[in-house]
Amino acid sequence: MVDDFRRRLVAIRDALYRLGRQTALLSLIEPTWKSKAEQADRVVLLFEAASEVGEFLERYYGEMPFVVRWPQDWDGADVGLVHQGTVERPETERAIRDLAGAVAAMNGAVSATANHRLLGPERDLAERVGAILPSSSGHELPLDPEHWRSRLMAPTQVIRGPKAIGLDPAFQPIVSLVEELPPVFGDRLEDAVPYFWNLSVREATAADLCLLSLFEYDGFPLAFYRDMAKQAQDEARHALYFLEEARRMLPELKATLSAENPLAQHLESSELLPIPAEGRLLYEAIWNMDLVERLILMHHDTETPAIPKLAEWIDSDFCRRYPEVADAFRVIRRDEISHSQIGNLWLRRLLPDPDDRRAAFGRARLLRGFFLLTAVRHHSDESLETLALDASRSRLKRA
Amino acid sequence: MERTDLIVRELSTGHVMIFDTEQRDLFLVDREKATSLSDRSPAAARELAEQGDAWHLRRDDLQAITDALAEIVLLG
Repeated sequence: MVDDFRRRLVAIRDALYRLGRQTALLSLIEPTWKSKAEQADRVVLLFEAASEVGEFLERYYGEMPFVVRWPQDWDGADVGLVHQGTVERPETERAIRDLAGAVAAMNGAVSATANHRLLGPERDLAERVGAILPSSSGHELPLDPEHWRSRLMAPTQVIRGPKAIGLDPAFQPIVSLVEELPPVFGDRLEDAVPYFWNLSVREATAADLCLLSLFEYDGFPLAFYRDMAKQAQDEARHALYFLEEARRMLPELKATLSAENPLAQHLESSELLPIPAEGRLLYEAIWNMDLVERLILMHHDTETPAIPKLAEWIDSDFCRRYPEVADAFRVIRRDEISHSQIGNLWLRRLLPDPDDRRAAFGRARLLRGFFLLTAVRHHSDESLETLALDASRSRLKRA
Repeated sequence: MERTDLIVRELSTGHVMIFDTEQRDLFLVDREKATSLSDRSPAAARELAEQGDAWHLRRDDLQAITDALAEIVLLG
């Protein structure tokens, strides 16, 4: 009896984290920031539930440490990830639905059979897990899934996620980043508001970096996937906040702009918010990086410097005029501190030797510009070679 | 984790990148040509580059590209 419960709970734990990774794929391809954030919330719920079951197994059943992995010989086709890097959404949704229903059925069986007086903890656990699952489906969860049995392995990129993902229809990609940099934050509305909507795209891409990484990489303990899920949820929330805040301030912004201002003219003729031509703002660059490069270039080199910058902005004239934005910056700064810590933790786990980390930093920073150009290439008529030659000879047509 | 003295990776652009971590040189080979490489090593890529079938970016080139694009903020 005891071993039967252990095997069922292992199957539930593994299926929950698998659902989390499948739902991450769905969040990646969601076409709006709102739906991306909603799916990211679900990803967190699933990994938290998997973690709770995992901790229960350790405490009550002495279950040994394990690493997360996709099934053996799995190639992603069953979740709609096709060979050319696109996603067949109906397949992804079907796979999630079927697996969630199967988990619900097994969880229900645990609840129903944990009727011994001494199995109160199992009943309580099943009740909490059941709260986040749909109704049981006709699908069955294998009780002792050979292909999901976890063995320790080094973190490895076992699959590549989608090459292309959506852009919220609020935006209109226009001029390339290599020609014109996006606006920077400033005290005037005409600086701050465009900055907010451009930042919202960068926040969404930061969410995607985390979702992509937890989907692609096997071999970490569950804590890594929980951390990536938490950060994805934070970044998706930030993206939605900055987009909604920019839209809320648009009427006030328009009132301050002169008729001759190019931005005023654009906003007069279009409801779409202009952003760089690269659209998804460098998602392709992230796709081309490995996890170490992502953790260095985003978590360390971008998130960490944002922490003191946010503190400056909280004290800015703009934030004195708009204290609700100051409050938002305070929450976001709290989040960025946690993201910096997440990056530091997992980079040190991947590269415990300081010399290896130093070499990796050098490499990632050297390749940074090249990775950016791979993203630009997807939105340009120029070849990668031409873009690189122009950049290396500083022939960029920068406004 | 993959070995760090040589990095071989398929890119979204249709190239295979071969990065020599000692020399800090980058070679870009078309995916189709990369499949015919007997070994995906800097030496093999260097040969292809000499034949005009691969593109070679030296460390200085990579640094110049990164410097030129330094103002672009990567993410939020």
